[in-house]
Amino acid sequence: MGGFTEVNLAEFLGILPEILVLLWATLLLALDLFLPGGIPRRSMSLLSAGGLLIVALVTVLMRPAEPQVILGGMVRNDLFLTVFRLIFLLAAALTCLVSVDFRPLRAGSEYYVLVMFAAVAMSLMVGADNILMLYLATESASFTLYLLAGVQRGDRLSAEAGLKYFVFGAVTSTTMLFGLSLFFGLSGGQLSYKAIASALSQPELRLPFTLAALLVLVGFAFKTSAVPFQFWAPDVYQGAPSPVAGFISTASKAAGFGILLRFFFNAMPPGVSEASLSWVWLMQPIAILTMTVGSLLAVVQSNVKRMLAYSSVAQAGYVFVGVTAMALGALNRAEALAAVIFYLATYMLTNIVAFAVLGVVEQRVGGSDFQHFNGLARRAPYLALGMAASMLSLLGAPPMVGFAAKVIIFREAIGVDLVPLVAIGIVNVLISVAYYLNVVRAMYVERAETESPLFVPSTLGSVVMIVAVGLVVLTFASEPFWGLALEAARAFLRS
Amino acid sequence: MGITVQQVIFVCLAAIVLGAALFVVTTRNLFRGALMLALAFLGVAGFYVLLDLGLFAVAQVMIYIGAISILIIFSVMLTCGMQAMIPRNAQAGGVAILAALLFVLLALVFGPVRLTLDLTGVPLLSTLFRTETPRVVGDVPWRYNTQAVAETYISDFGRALVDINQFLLPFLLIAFLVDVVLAGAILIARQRKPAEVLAEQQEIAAEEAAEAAALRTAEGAPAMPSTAAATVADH
Repeated sequence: MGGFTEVNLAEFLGILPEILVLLWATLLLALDLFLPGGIPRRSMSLLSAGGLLIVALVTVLMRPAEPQVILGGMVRNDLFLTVFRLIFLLAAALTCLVSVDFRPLRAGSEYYVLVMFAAVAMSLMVGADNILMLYLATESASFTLYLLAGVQRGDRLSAEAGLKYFVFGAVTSTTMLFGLSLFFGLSGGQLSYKAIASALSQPELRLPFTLAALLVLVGFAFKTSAVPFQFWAPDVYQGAPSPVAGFISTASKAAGFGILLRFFFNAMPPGVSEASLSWVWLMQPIAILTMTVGSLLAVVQSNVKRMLAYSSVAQAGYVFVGVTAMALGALNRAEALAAVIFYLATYMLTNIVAFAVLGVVEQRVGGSDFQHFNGLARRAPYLALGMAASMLSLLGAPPMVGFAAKVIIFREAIGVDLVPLVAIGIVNVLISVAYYLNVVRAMYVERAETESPLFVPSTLGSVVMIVAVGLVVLTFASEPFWGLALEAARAFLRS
Repeated sequence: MGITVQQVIFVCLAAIVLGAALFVVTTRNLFRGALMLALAFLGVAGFYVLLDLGLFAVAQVMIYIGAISILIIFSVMLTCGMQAMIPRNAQAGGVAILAALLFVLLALVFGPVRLTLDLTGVPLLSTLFRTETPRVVGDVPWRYNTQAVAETYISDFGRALVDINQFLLPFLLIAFLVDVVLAGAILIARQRKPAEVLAEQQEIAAEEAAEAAALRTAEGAPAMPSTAAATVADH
């Protein structure tokens, strides 16, 4: 019997954040089971969020200086992964904090464990360096999110959201798996991105590789809710508990972009073979369609939750503008990628706040239509202020950080002569004034039937205020974060 | 009259498979049927072992027992009312005839009396059942890995799953995924006892009353008409 190949336990340090989160989740679950009476709801939320934030700190301290491929070529640990880990851990921590005050959820310990596992799976998605790991991590994240969407017991809409999300997800992920299996077969049984890239050069395989790339793109488009695979978003966001909708619309979307960038730029690098032209050419139409369909459909919504769903489709379109700039331009690729990372991070903060406020209004005013926001500025001034900050940042109005993010993305796109694309983007931003400011108008101009103050839970209120202030502060202190994004982008391209 | 050990084992396995399969199609209890289905699958894995097809046996156990049967068992357990449900099958007769036909067909093709058909002249069938499978499908030269399988392939396979330099991480991830998804499925599917629902309603009412009180003290004056506060507290 042959022995094992050399075992280097230090390789596990490369996935230390994931290991720590899983250990913490398992420990909390066990404590909740064995402690008499279990862990109280509020402590559970604080403990999960605190653990995630500590792991975020560990992630920063353990950031790899050089990109390294570890654990048998499964994970590529570099600064790009570190930045995405931070996005997921922060998104999960904020989701844990705001979930406890969303009363209909009655979130028990299992809920927080699901959120934590989703964060781990998303990190592994972005860290994956071969198609096996890519598929497994994507499915792990997806299944956890299907459960989270349907977790609100006794609520038909939530159950419908979970089932709908599952059915759409199963179809697109099977399509993606078919594409991945073609990559496996065409490259002669290779799993790693780099080996696939070297098999691409055979000219007679151009057509099948193109087909495989299209099939895989279906899976990525579903995760990023890009047109024409955005149909699930409004129904799932509307039915899912608001904090979960916030998590899906930010962390899951960021993970979708993470795998899209990793897979296409490593397995099918633009400019290396003709087969990679397929996805490079598709980025621009996807960006245009996603922005335009998202914003046009958001205008006609009367429900804020559905409006936010279409807005998140449009936001994905702006990110695709950055991806297009990255795919088409060879010189400023690092800057374009940094712009994409920066946009995803700021969008995560912004949208989670929006869904947190929405959750309060939904539950304490009685619905999530525009009219339910009437007079919120007088009923809960700080909450309204947080929502206004979030809406302005999503719109991209100065001095919110969303403005900086949009300017950077458009600047990089103009840098590679994508002027028509940027023009369409700016038209869509102008259209989005209508629906984002509609929320602000309802809160500050309209009058509600009852002007009695609204009870704002203290944890949720402070999270909303801290992040809202952060959205302004980040604009003026964006330099270190932009520097980190740029470094991550350079580490991504150094492969 | 020489009866080999293999023949004895074969008969035993066949009895197990047939008995279990008959139980599956006749029982009225879905849960027991699912368990028996797993036993039938296990018997088939035994045939593969008997034929010295180790990989097939492992695949049979992993896929048919480890995945399919377990999936059926869990869906029966997690779906409310399914365990108590008595399934009726109106198509039993038709299915029995189909199964008999399939058996006859298999016996004719693979059995001792080999049925041979010359399809070369038949227009459609001759193209469908070509003996030579083309290597080039749709002008794509699909590459085949034709190297011989090593003797130790089963142990290699097992070791690959726990080797840090091979597939340990995916293996661990799947293990965690199954745990988490199972916990989540129970969370969603579990039926709550009336006492639990009542306790939760009381908890919500207490929280709402506390919030209303907090609002009143913050305002200094009763911000909410007292009747409205009372209805909230009663809720």
